[in-house]
Amino acid sequence: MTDRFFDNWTTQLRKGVLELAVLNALADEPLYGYDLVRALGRVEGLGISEGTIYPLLSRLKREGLVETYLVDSSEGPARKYYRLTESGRTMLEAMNEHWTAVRGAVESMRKEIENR
Amino acid sequence: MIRMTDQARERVDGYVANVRRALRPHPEVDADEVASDVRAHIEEALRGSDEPAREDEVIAVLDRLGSPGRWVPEEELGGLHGIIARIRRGPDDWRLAYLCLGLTVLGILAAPVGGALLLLPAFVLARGALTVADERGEPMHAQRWLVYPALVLVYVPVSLVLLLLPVALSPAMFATGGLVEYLDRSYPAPGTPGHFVTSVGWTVVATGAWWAVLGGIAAVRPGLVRTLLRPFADRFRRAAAWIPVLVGVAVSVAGIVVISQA
Repeated sequence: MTDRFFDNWTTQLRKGVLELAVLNALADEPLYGYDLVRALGRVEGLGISEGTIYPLLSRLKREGLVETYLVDSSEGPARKYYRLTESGRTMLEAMNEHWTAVRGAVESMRKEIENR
Repeated sequence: MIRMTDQARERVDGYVANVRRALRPHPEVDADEVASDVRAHIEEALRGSDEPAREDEVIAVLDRLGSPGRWVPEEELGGLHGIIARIRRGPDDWRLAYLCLGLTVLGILAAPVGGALLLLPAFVLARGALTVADERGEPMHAQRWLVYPALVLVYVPVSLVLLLLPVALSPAMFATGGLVEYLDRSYPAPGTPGHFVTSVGWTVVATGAWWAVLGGIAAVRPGLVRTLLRPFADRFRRAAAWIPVLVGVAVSVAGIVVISQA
């Protein structure tokens, strides 16, 4: 039962930070979808399976936070690139601020308890 | 487009179809676009390997992508999938399997009073349990002992009826007043030895031909056999479909020999 509780908790936590991870991955430059997915799939600790990222990108696109464009490729069909929209960039700043605040709050609480 | 073996292509098509099916109930996701992205992802991942890409190479890529059923949070699942997922979720995730076995046992015990009808919902739940396990990428493990009886109780009689359909139709064809008597006035009269042997011979010919047709359909659409007889036919391959074709032809020839001796 304890393992099950822990698994559920980590799953919920992962879902919560997945959007943040995807938006941050696109913060600096547009990325080819395949490279973006492979890169996020390799990030240790997040435990993301590559497939979960595509529906998330689709959702972010429908929300108007990311947009796509095609770039011709010499190796095959045109490649789909993802980039942040202006509202995506604004949302990312807000989410990063909130993440920092939540992380700081939890850390300071833990330190307080350790120092008692 | 990357060239693949037939088995590899079937894997990819099945996976992409599962992705589309899993995401379709969610209006916030464009299921067709995601399915297209996933297909492009698979092809990109296979680029650089020898062509045609093999099934094991495709499986490695699909393993990294993960089970399509996990792409959607369970609480957001809609329709039948959502109902099944919620029933299935429980203290030990075995609720659907228990429910399936309960209906099966009740159906057998209450068979004299029409309880056999309960085998139908038990069968539907069993197929649902298989689908949920597939989409989660989890094997059935011991749950199969709770789920498989409902499947066997439907698969076996339906398969027997399907295989022996010509035998079942035989009396309507050859009995007194049957279709053959109406169509062919020169056919041996009912009650004579010639009528019996010839009727048996034609039934054997029809049965063999029917098996050959079924085998032919299975050879053209092996995926159909795997889907209809999940999970017992999961390893069914096109080559195996030629066995009923050959057996059917042999049986038909035997029937023709019997008729010629009459």
